[in-house]
Amino acid sequence: MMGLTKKQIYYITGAILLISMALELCGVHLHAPHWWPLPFGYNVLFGFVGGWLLIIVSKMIMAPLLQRPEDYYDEKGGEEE
Amino acid sequence: MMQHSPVMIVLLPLTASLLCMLFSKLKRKLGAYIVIASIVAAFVNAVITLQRVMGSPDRVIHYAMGNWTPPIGIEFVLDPLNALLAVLVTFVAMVVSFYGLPFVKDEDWLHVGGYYTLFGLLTVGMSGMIITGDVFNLYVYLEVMSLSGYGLIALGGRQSNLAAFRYLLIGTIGASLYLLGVGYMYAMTGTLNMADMGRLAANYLNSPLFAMAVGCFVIGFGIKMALFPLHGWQPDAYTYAHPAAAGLIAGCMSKVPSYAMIRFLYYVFRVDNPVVTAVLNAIGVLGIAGMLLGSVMALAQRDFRRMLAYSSVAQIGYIAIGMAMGNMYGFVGSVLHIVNHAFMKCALFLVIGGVVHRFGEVNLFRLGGMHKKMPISSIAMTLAALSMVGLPPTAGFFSKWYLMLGAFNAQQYIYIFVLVVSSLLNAIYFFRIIEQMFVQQEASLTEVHPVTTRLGLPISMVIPIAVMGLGVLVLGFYSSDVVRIIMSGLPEVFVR
Amino acid sequence: MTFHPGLILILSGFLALVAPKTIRKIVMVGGPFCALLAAMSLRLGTDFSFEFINGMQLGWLHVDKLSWLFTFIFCVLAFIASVYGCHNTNRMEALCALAYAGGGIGVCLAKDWMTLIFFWEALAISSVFLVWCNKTKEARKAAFRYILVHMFGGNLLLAGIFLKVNAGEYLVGNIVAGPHDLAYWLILIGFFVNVAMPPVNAWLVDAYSNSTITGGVFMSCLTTKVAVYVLVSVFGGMELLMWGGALMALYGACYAIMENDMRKLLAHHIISQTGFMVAGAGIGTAMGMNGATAHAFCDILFKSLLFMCAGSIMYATGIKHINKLAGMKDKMPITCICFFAAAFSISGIPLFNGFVSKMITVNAAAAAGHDLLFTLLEIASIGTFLSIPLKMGYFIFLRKDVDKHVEIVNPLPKNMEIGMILGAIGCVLYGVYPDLLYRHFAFDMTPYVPFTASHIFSTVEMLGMALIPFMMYLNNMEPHTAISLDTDWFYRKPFAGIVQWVSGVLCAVCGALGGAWWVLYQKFMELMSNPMDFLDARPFREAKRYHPRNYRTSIADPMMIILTVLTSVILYLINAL
Repeated sequence: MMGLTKKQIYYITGAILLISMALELCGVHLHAPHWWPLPFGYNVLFGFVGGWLLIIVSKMIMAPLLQRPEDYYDEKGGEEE
Repeated sequence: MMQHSPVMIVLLPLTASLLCMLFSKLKRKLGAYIVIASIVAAFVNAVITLQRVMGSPDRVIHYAMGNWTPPIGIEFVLDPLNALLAVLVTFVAMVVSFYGLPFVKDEDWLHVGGYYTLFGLLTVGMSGMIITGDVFNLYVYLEVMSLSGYGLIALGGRQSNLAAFRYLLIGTIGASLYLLGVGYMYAMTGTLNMADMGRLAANYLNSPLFAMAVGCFVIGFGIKMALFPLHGWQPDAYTYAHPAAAGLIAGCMSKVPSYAMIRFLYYVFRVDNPVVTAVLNAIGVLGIAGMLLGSVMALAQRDFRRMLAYSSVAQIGYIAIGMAMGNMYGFVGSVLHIVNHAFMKCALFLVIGGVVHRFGEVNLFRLGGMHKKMPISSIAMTLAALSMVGLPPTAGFFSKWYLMLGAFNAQQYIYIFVLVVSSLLNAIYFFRIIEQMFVQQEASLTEVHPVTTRLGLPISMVIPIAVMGLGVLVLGFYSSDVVRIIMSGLPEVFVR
Repeated sequence: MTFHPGLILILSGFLALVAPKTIRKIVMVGGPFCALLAAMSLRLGTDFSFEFINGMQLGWLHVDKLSWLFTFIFCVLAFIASVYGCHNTNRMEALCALAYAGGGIGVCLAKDWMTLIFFWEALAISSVFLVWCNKTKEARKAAFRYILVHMFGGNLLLAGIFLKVNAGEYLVGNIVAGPHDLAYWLILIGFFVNVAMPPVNAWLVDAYSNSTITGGVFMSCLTTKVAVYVLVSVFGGMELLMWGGALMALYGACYAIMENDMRKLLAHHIISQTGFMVAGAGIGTAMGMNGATAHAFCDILFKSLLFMCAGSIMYATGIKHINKLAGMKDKMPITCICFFAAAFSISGIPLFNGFVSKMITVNAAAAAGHDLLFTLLEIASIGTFLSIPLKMGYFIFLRKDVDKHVEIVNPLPKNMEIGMILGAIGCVLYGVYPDLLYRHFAFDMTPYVPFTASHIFSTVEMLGMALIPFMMYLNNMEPHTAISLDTDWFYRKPFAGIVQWVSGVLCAVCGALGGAWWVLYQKFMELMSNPMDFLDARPFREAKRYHPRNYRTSIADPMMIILTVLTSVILYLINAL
């Protein structure tokens, strides 16, 4: 991806992560839903878990149930002509 | 001269039709032109009569034939309702008579003369049935209309003989039922004049004889107007009718008996007695069944004309439920739909007649890409189809609106539901046609009567098609005027 | 002078239909440009109406803040899309697209229900024709299903409006506080069909992926956004909308992650983004409804741009499946840049317009105390990020073309590139200077400041972290060559069979009634000889395929029916005495 290897991407992402967490510690005020007990690192966790969950649900659960070959709806043999 | 305008509506085409064969023997197409001219004159007279009716103080004109005073004499009675319908019928007849000219261009004098004689007599029968005020006179015109109708259907080709014969038998049953009803009523009241009969019948409203008579009337008219399930003759009749006359037959021939039913039930017998109320319920049930089942059957068809015939069954259902509601809005919706449907169906049959004339093709799945070959016809057909579905601002929307208003006021919500479902089904089969015409690949069709002009059809066919198509739109915009005319001639009594 | 921009568009559509080839391009672009000028010159509070039957007033040009904003953005869309599409030679398509846009504007500017339904139906009809302009067999069938669903919704809406008008309420207004009667639910369902709420959502994916390239750009932004407008003004504050919106957002996002066809993926995304707007309308606070409006505004810009990019790729390469594309970054650089501008907008990355709009809705959910909704919408945002910039961006543009060998078959005409660039400019412009949008908000609220540190950080972190699972499953993320089943399965499979069956039954009944006695006699005799023959129902068997013979009745059948009906009616009447 963009000529970077996977490893390089992980490094860059990790760097962004660390910088933002550090800035948070310096007192940046976050919007947070009120029943979540951890305002710190919340977004990080949310991003990761959310993305992971979506991929799992879509690819592992929904796709096998709902996907069909492309000619599923085409009627066998002529219909109207 | 003006005070004779009612009888001129009937007299002029009658004379011309009877002389048509003679003139055709002299010069082949002369008879045709004479009949067409007479129908134009009849239309002019109908318009004059309508103006006179709207201008007269109590909105009614009586014309006694031969100055014999009713109730012994026969009279024509014109109120806004039938003056409007007389204008409608003569207008449609005029337009379709021009349309028929290219079809008979190559025929010999016998066929030209015969066709136009029958056509003129059909017009006479329909207009007479509308404007007459005498019960037996109505039977006479009913038979004139029916017999010429049978003849015009039989002229359509090889398969039409059986269709015409079937219609002959069934239609005669219908007319005989009507005559039976007339007989019962005459036995009860002793008069044949409609207004008089209505007055005298008030004494017999609770007798079983009256119930039988009303039953015979309703079934008789129901057969002629193709009310479900009495419509068995209609699909074949419309399919195999002569393509030039199909516009008039489909447009008006089933509307006039429904007008007659309205006239009898609302004006002569009045709807505030138990028998007529019960028969209105029966008509409502049959109307609902016709709307739903007619639409479903239309969906399954491949022949364009048969599909339109089943669609007519559904549309007659609209008129029937308008009658059945028994209140003002339902009545207005029913009559408005008579006017609108005449235009819509006539436009559709004129278009398919043009296709048959030029290509000889009736299978609707083989009409691809028609808009390139016949642009004006495609536009007219689209307008008529949109009106059948009931989209504003075309005419069909307004009659649907009034019918829904009537159902709402009568608190019979089943009618609203059925109207909605029926519109949906209509949309499906009409959009199928539009799709074929505009989107499909151009079908390779052999030209039976080749046409080289850009219009796609001979000029005397294009102008009627364009007039009818535009008429659908114009009727939509001016529907308030039509409704005003109808409302000035309402019956005195309503159920709700 | 005030002009109705919608009518200008419809008029220019008709002009484009008949204009000769040389000036058609000018008409196609000039018409929307004039409409745009007209829209910008509309004053707030304009109110034109004319008299209709029964003394009803039809308010056809009613400008308030909300309707002005939507009118403006629809005109902008019409302009950009016309620039993109003016290379088209299909006249019908020009008419349909412009009439479609005009109809949408007409709905927005409508003051009373009758005008609304009139333009609503015009919207449906013109969009049907627009899908038909594609002329493939698939498109015809998709258009057919589209008609079914939209006529169904349109008729329900008409019935609901009819009930409302009869109750005396002519004007379009918020009815959430009123009685939740039949009219309320009918109108709601009618709107739901157009906004593509599951279960009536399948038409969107079906029709939009089968439309023409330029038609798809128009369609992607009109029907659903018009429905959002009416939902905001009529049903703003209804709780059901919140959860419906959340459902739509997640539904669309999940399907998009699976999907392979580019435009179907984007169509699923329309459902997803519209879900945000619907949820915003449902929250009901000023912030929520402003958020819905802002998101509609920005969504039109970036969604049309995405469709334009997808269309450009289809035009240039003839390929519409993601798993057959690769390496477009080098082959179509302008498209790549515009795509990423749109993709970043849709994900809500700062400096692009999605950030300034999507966050309002999401934060409105938090501010109103709906924490679960907030969470769900955030998850949906992550899904958006996954499918569009990451999935589409990587698989189409960024990965190296080692085995796909994608070729540019048709180079892009200049107007398509200009159109895309205009769209990209719009995306960035509002992203950088959001006040241009905020000052037109219809509902008063405390001003929202997008560029706070917390907003930026939360977005960056969340989306940045979402990158990691994507990378982990990179190979799996490649879509399969398959379609996904949706709610339209219910009316695609069984419909034709039902029609045939019903007409077969009807013919059988008709024939049976006619030949009743004869059949009874025959069957009785046969039963005597062989009881198993009783199960032989010939009318049913022969009615499988269409045959005209099945529909021609004999002479006896109608007569028997008439006799039956006659006797029953007379008995009924005598009974009624």
